[in-house]
Amino acid sequence: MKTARKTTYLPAPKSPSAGELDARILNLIARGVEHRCPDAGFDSLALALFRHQFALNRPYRRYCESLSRSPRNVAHWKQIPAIPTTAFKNANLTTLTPKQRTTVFHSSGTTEHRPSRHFHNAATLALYEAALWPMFAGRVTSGEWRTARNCQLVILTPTLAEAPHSSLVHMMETVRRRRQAPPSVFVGAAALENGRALATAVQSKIQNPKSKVLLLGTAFAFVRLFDAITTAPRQGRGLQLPPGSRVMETGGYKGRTREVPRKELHALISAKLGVPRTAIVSEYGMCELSSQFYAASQSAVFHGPPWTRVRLINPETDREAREGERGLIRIFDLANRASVIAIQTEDIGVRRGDGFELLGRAPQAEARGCSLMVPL
Amino acid sequence: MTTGQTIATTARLWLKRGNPWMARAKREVTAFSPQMVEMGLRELFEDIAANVEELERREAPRITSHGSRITVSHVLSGNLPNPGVVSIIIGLLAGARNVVKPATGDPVPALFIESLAAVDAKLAGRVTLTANREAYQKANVVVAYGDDVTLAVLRAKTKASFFDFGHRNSIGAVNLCHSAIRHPQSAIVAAARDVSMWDQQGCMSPQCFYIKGDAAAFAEALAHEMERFDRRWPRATLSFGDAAAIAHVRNEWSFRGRVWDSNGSTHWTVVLDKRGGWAPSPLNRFVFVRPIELLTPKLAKQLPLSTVGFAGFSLKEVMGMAQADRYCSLDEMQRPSLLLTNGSRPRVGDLIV
Repeated sequence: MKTARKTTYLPAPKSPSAGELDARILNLIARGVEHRCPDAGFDSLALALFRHQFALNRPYRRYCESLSRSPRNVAHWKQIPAIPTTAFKNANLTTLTPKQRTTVFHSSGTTEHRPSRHFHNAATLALYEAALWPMFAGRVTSGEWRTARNCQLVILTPTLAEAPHSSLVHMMETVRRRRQAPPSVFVGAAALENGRALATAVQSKIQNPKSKVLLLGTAFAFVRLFDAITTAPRQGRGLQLPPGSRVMETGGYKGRTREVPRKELHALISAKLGVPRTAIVSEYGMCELSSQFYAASQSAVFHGPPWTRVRLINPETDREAREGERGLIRIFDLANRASVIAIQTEDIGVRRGDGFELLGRAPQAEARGCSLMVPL
Repeated sequence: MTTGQTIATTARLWLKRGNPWMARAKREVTAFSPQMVEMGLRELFEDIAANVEELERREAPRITSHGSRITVSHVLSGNLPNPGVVSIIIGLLAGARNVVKPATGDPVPALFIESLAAVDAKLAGRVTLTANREAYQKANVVVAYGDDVTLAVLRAKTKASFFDFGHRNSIGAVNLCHSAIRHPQSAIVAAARDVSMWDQQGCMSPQCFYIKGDAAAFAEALAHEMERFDRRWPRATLSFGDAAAIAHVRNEWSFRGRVWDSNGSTHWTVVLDKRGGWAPSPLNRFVFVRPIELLTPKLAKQLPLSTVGFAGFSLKEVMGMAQADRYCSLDEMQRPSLLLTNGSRPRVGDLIV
């Protein structure tokens, strides 16, 4: 049973200001994704952010206090209480006042009565955009793609106007702007409703059949697209993208289409679009985070930027899983300045060095044994 | 010897110190800790030894020679060993031939038949174990335990008389007000026992206690008692998925309510929820505590209840709160008597009719 821990109480340090923290985070991001952030530097900024969030994020503070944690007895970033992602559904986990909240990202999922809510303002959106670009550029458009001219961007999501609360769409819009592509690169919500319409939309976006394509989309959109290609007789040979094209897939299925394991999805992308496995990248992100993780198709190991850390937690012992062991994925994201930097996800992974292999969603408390969930 | 006397003698063998069947059950049952297996089976066979002859006497008017001509198929679930043993006993008392399909990895039915053979080989010969999932199709009567989907499939495929026992929940109701309860600490010890027995895997295991009085104090005291119980009768080692389910629900409720839990393990969890109505427990000794006001008539009507355990309330009061198959004192929730005639098993005479 949990008893009072033997703790060393330090004088409560002053909570740093948002502006001061943003400057430090942006400075860390500006060093790039290849720069390894030493643990001491990460720790110092993480603890400063914890003090800030403990002071201004009331629901998080209550949560920390229920665990007997505060800036007085948290001396290392690993000790910062991680908030479960489901808590974002139940409370406004933000340091922003209602007037400061200009944007809110919601979790996706068709069956959720109450989505997660992650609030932003101009400053934190700037952090979000600053954090996403170096990893995207380094993992998706690396090498020859960094300077590629005449490449065509196609995005298999709704537009920002159609999905203003989607963090993924906001990310895609940021990528579009950074690559100076026109707004028409989005296929839009209507096309995503129907596989054949989606196939037609993708074909219409590819203006030049000889210049390579950068195709970004959710896993469910790809599956819907491939199902349509299979059933359309005239498109039996697939929708071959020009040589040198690249694909980034992200996100789960959330019950919107049949589920396809990642390896199989990548094989389908290769077969249907003519894109080699070496040119396929997976992204892992969620609305509760401000940074993303990427894995090359062949490796299956996701890595994040230097301003993040990942811990795989053994659910039985609440201790860190060893190399090669399964655990629940806990992410520390320093770009999450206005919410909580420590996020306990519901996803299971296997620890691989400083990255993780994603296995999928942890089982929920469903009706099992003699229990039965009653819809009330 | 009558069938009842033979079974009572067999049960007494299980209660003898150093008997080989209990030793093997402790070794071979992997779903529970050896300590839990020993205590649970000991209680089961104590009840059988005490009551099986009385059950035979009570059912005698309904037992006819027709019983010896029927075949009862028992399709058992793996969550608990007890219902399977009791089901076989009821089939034997009816005089029937019994074909038993145990759950994969559950050695207890086989051990029970082996011990019965040591007393009366002829009676034990009336029971056949099978791994054939379709064996029930040749029976006159099917008694099936398991999840609702499995039971629906079985029901659709058989033309035999069908007795099925699927998902249900159990709850406790405790009145802690001074004048209502004489020994509140005893009620708390009993509540901890009811949750923890058989790692909360049975449908008679409470998933929530509704409290009149100080629910927070009850929750805290319950946590202490569950820890004490766990030290003596540890919970089983869980799969990653089951542990992850508990971790997930703990995380969620540590934000929405107040949580007491085993430190460095998922062995037991008590959640105080002052706002919700019902939420499924991930089981494995995970229980909610709520104020009695949250047990609304609407909720009580919608919950398929197996057992309501109570303390400090009268039976009439509890029956007014929730309709269930069984009402009992706290401490008895996981000890259904062999003489129990409602809800959790068929009666001997039912098989023959």
